[in-house]
Amino acid sequence: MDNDMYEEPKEYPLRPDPPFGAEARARGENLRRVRHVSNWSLAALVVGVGAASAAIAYAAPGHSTSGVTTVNGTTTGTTTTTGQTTGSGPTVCKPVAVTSGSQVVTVNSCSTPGSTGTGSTPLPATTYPSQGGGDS
Amino acid sequence: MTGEMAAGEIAAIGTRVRVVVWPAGLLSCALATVGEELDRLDREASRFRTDSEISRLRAQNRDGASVFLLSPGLADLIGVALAAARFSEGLVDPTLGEAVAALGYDRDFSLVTGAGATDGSARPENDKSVMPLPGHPTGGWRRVELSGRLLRLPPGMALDLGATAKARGSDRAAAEAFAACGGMGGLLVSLGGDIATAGEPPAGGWPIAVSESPDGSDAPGLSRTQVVRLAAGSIATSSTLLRRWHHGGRTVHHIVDPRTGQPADGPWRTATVAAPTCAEANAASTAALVAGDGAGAWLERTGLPARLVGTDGACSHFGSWPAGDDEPIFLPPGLGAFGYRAVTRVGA
Repeated sequence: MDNDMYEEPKEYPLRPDPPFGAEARARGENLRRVRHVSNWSLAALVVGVGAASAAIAYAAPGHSTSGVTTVNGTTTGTTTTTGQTTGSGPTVCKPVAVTSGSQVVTVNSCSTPGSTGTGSTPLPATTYPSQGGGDS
Repeated sequence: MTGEMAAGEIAAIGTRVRVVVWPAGLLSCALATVGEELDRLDREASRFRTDSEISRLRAQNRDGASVFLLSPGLADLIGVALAAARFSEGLVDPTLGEAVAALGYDRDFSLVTGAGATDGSARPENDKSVMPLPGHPTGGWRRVELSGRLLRLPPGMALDLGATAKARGSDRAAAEAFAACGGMGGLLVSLGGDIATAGEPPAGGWPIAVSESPDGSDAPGLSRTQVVRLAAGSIATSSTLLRRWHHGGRTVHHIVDPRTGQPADGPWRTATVAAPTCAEANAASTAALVAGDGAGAWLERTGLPARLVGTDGACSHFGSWPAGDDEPIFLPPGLGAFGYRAVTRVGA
């Protein structure tokens, strides 16, 4: 027998055991951090796109700001909005209310839906019984 | 936030109620909530309804009872009325019920109309004939004790919350509607000219016409209508030109001087005041008319911005009331003259 053919088995060191301890924890922590950052980036992107879309929509010249509104089929708007301003509500050019002391309205106590009371502005369909009276 | 604005009107508690909101989509919700709140107010404090809480209280007090457990809403209204009396040094007094009734205002004003009311933009009449009316003891409000919801009244005393309840109702309705409709945008409630706001105003503030005419027009014989901007708080007007009627051979009105039990007869016919709450604004405007010659000094002490119209139609401004049109009203910090809780939700 020729023993020259025989080779001593080489030692292949075994792959070390999966890391445990501080190193493993650090690796896991890094992975979580990357996922966390990705999630926040995505959320910020969504919010940013939404806000930009809204801003562009309001800033567009064709944006309608007519203040006439219909309630229950009755036009009630006497105010008009003529444009938008930043940081607050709509711009209103005409008075929206009058303060002049007590006004008295005479309405039947059994008002029917759709009826109107006194005054220059049509009342909406919802009416309430005239009861009591205030002083000022 | 921006959005369209909408206005709607309903009739309640004998007056016209105007609600203005933005965004416009909140109008239906706001109108419904304001209506509910005013219905509650009416059931609590109307002296023209026999089934109201205050009418029942009056009947019971006439029968000898003197201590009452009130609903939270009526306790709130009486608390505001007493705070107004303290604040106005008795110029606004909730114990004038009998005096007002003695002048003929003992039913809904639309019914008083049938007895010769001259409500509207009528000019003051020069009917100075005086029919003697029962004298009224001054300072009746000092004998009313309110502790939480417990009320003690002198036997036979009748409360009349007319001078403050409507304004307080405006405060409550605005706060309730704003909260019930999502707490977004802005809202204005006007109860026959007693105006309260909640939320954010429109850009530049709510434009309000201060006028002696209910429709805001410049009618002959009336002072010039001025437009002011209300960024926050409230505004109210009291006038002897409105709610007038004939009684005992003379023309009377509903602003009664607690010191005499007679209609106020001073040099001012209309007073408009801005304040943090509508209850405060209305108490101050009523007190200014009653104060007569002392109105200017009294208003200066309060620090509240005010506009008074004399019987000759001339306007005088007090505090930070703006001189021109479309200018904002500045409410100095620290106002809140009542020392009473500001706009709160009674039902909350």
